[in-house]
Amino acid sequence: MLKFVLLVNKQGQTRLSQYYEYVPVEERVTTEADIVRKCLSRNEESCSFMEYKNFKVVFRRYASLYFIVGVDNSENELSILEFIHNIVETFDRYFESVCELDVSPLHTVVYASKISIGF
Amino acid sequence: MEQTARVLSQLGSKDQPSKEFQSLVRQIGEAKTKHEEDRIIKKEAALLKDKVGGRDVTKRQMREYLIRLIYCEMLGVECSWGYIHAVKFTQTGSTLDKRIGYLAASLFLHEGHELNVLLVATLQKDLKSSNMLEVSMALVSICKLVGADMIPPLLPLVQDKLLHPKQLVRKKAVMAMHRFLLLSPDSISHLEDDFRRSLSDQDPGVMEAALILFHDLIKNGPIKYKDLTESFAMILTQVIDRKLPEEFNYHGVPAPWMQMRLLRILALLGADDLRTSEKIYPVVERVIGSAECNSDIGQAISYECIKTVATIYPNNSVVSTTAKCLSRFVTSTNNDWRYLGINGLASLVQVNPKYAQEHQMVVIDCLDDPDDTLRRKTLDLLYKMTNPLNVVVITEKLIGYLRQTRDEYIRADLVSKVTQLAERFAPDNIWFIQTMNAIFELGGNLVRREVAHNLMRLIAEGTDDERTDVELRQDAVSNYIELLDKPNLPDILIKIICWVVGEYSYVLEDTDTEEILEKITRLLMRTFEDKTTTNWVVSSVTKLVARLGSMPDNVQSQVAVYLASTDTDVQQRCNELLELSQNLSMMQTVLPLDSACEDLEVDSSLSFLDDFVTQSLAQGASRYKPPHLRPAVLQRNQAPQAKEIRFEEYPMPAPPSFHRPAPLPSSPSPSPRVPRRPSEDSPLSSPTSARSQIAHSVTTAPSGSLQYAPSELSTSGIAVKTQRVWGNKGYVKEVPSVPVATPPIATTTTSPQQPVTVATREGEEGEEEGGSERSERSGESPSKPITAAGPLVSFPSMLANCMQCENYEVERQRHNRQINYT
Repeated sequence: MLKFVLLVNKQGQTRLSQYYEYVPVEERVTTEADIVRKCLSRNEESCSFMEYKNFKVVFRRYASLYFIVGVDNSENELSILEFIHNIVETFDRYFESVCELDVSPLHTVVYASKISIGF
Repeated sequence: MEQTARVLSQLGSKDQPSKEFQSLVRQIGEAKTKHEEDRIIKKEAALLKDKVGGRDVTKRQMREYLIRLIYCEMLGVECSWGYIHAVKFTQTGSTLDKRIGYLAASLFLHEGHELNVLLVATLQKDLKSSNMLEVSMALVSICKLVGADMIPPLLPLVQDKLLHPKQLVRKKAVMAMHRFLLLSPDSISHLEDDFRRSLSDQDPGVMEAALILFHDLIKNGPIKYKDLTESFAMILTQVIDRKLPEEFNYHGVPAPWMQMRLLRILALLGADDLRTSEKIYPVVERVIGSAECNSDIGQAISYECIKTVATIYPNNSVVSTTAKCLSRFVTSTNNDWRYLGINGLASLVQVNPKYAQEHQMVVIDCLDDPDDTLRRKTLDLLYKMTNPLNVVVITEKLIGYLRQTRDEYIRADLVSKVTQLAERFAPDNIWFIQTMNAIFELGGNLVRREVAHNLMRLIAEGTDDERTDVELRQDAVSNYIELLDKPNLPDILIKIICWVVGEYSYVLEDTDTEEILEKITRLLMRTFEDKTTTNWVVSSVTKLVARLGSMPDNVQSQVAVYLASTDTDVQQRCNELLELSQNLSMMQTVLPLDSACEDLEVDSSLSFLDDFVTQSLAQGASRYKPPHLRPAVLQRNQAPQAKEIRFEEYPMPAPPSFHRPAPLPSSPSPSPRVPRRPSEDSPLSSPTSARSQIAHSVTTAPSGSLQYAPSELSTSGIAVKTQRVWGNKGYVKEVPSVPVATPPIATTTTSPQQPVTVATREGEEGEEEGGSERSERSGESPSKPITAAGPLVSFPSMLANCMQCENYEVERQRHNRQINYT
């Protein structure tokens, strides 16, 4: 089960966030910052998954943007990795080449399209 | 920005995002620091707050404000004042507005939010609408927002949508049902037929949604759905045979996520069930065969197969095929794949440990890998691979990791793992104790208390062999004495050390008991996180003093400090220690060596006090009456009190013969230490219990509390109900026959008064004690009538009456008049 999806840039600024379980707003900010810090400290070689508190985090880097997905422990990590790629491809096809800064103003649309994909 | 406009126009909106929005986005995008970003957003939020509440906000502006609100929330500024606008927007007319409104609502609100109630009616309306878009939006919002209590009004409408002509709507309806299932499984248990119909729906999208639903249904209870195994297997075969439309292909692989979902479902159905598993084997083999090994997604499917095979009933050929698949994971250079390989190994190893042997070199490499995640997973694998042969090495590794990690969750996890391993596979007791000591030292607060108790019981009970017992204890005690020198031990470890050392230090012949006692006493000076630890230390000191045979001075002074502690347990123990240490030979009999496992014999009839009791009875003490035999209760049970209002006038009081005492300052505060009686026991109908109450109150309260000068009572305004026969100079012989009139108290009637008054006189005449103190009357003759009223008035009963007293002034004056007569 997905817990959340985040799009964060290398400086740690959140470009998009969607939570599937309720988390209060302040807690979100701290969690996001913490997770991003951990992701940034990873190098190329290491795994794209990590365990954070009591759930897992799968992330993938596309240029300067990190796609981060939080899942619970029973999920297949590689499938989530591919899922992230699927999202990216969908955005690409729908918006005809997206870059990070485009995501911000388009975020509403992104949300709407996410809903229509069904996640 | 052009893109935004284009896309928004596709959505049906004709607006350009306003200049403000554009500048906001640009600023955020260019903000260099978090601080600056925060500042911009806070300003924006404040601006929005003003605007949104304004009067003439057009729909268009409102749409944009909502979007900007979403933006603010995403960046961490809570805007709960704006939520209501989102909700209001869902109720407006146009589809675009609804869309933005629902979007904002589903992002802002959450399951238990109070504004959800406002949405229920809107959702119902939209669900019934003929516009497909509105229905879809409503269904999607239900998925995000609905709580368990909102299910009943929405359920029938959603159920209708399961049969909607449009497949998109059907699909969303199934997702909504899934959500209901997660919230409250009972609410949809009657809809199984509908779900099965969705499973065999024409449209693969709806079918996939139904798969998700069934996955969770099966998780809750697989037995009901075992008949569906063949259907699932058939669907999976069709997927692999590429019978699904092209759109479902991802990089050439047909519907990979559907495959994985199906594999998981089959795993749940086939677990521990040979017959069902037999239906699954062929399909799984086909999937493994057709999965592409070079792409991530193909590997993902293979991994899922591995997990499935490990869960269902094992079959040798299938398992060996799977193992081959697994080796591709483990031997790869891609860390992600290796991670999954380790995971897969962990599950396969539980089926058949030999697979671990093949890959052990790789595993050992992974253990030292720079990648932290991989290391942790390898430790998990090691944990699953533990057997009595390798437990020592593995626990060492786990403890090593525990030493250097800081993350609380990981530490708790490791502590519980090591504890389990040690308890299951410990080669010998000494190793067990040493390992447990290391665990307690490293993660004491994370260990369950039962583990500590188990350890202590192990040392106490030992094995059948005396010699190993002795060795064990010697080892334990010497270890613990060494540990005592370390600073900052966790509480649980201190408790264990104190207990073991206290009980068994005698086993070590060559140590100085006094030295040990010194060390333990030093522990007393620490404050512990867990207050009860001090109790353990004191007990230990007690046992050591008994063993030593003498009480050193510093110990005495340390213990004396705790006599004043606020914790009564510690106080009691210190008192016991000091008392016992006065008589050391008795102490040694009380605390014999090595008797931790002996049962305490409790003499519950207190037969050792028999002499004392017979003596007291001979001197005239009254026998103890159990509560149900006491007169108050007896009377209450016999005569149900009729609560009546007295209509006749009270008779005038007769002139009494008391003299007036000196007036005292009126400080009506009662002594706080006297226990209050429950108001049900009015003093007049329960004289003996009054006396026993007094007895209680005297023994429990320090003697000063009951010494009221009678005048104190008079000015305190407390209504005195019974006769005043104790004056300043002691017992007054002559008692005026004043009928004690009761005020209209609800719980008493006048009937018990007469016998009470009579008995009062009788009782009084038997008394000879002087002094105005109310002291315990141990000299009463046992032949007194049960209803004898003591002239004593217990304070709690007075207070109780006071509370019931309605005519306060009358009572007070009457009382004053009585005092005059003293």
